[in-house]
Amino acid sequence: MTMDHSLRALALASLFALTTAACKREPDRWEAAKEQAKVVQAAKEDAPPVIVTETNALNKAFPTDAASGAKRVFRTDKPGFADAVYNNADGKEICVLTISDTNSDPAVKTKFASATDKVGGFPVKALGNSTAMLVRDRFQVKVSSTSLSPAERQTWLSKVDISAIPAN
Amino acid sequence: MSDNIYELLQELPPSSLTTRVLGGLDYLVPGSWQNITNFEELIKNETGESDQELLQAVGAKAIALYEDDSTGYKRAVRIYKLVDSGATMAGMTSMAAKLSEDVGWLSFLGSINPKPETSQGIDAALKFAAEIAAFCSTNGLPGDSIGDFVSALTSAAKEDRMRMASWLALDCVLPLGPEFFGTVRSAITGAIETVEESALFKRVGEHLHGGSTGEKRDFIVSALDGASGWMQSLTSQSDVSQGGILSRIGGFIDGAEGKMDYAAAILDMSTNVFEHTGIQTVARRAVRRAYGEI
Repeated sequence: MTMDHSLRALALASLFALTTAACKREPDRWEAAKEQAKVVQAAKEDAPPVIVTETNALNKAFPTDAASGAKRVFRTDKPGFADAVYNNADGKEICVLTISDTNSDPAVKTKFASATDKVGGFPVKALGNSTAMLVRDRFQVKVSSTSLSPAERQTWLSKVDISAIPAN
Repeated sequence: MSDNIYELLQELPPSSLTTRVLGGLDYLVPGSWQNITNFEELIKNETGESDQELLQAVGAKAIALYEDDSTGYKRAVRIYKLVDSGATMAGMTSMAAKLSEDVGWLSFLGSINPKPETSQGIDAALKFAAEIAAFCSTNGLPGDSIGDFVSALTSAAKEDRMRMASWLALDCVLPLGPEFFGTVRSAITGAIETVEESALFKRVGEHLHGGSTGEKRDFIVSALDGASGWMQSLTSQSDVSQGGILSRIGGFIDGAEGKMDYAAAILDMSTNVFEHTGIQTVARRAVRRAYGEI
């Protein structure tokens, strides 16, 4: 093979590599999350089941219409998770209240270690448009709203009936 | 085929016959629905957040929740897909009956039973029941009573609201006229064998609430009755007449001018409203839950 041929072969190989790279779909920002989810799910199937609250266990903790001064609409009631939306008289959303059992993902509790605020003696942490409270080191109660201030979100957290959240 | 929620969402077409028809029906529920087919955009829309790190955390958690079968999200997507997987009995039967009237040599098709109106009524009821099945799979039975459940259903927003309005317009009013409720109710409460013979029932039946077909039917009827007020209020507020609907979407269907049963059959066979908006619904619910749990 002459030098000329070698160069041409190299050029062709480079071109081929470039073309293949261009045709191959670039991994997007969610690709890693998808792979990670599969790994976590597979590990879960081999591990002993995680105990979380049954359905219908968290509903009673959601402030009633009278207690909240808004119209409550329950939206989800699944094991370990419930949420309700609160609307004003015109049907416009004020906030969404969620209660989740962190037994399904204890790592989410770490953010409360740096919490300085408390509501009803429980640590409270604001993040973006939401404010979360950790009840008895297990249940995360969160108010999210694009219209309420952090202080108003804390007021909403204080309306939650903590005594209705199951004991650990 | 993608089995992940963000890919399913991002594979939805930005524009298709389905999206154009839904755009035409926007007047029923003004501004309720946007055709969001980008996962990041959906997270921003649902949470109002813009911080990239937070968006990534919410998205990753939503993807993980979808991957977990116990959340019911995958099952809900399966149900929405089943509703639209091919022509429903009503679409086929109605089309066959019309063809046999108009085209002499196809007259043998006219002998197909059940009669179009009955099968259309059954399909409409079953689609409604499939919506409830997908809703329960996604959300459980929220609250403590059937009242809370109907309230959640009738206060539905965004994709859910659009899908239910479209169901009311395209599966009920367009083929059956203003007195659709009685037709749908009597179709589903009619002979149980007719329900069981329905192609749609064969596809979605196992996912419906209740053990026997009779129990499933009772649940469908009580849910229909529970939502009848919502249906009446929507049909009385907007121009939900056959003519009103067709004037908005008739342009998308060739050769259906003035023929309501043709139009309904063509739309039934050529759109996938439940699948398209159902994937958007499930993605949104997974994102909302993820936002609550992180």
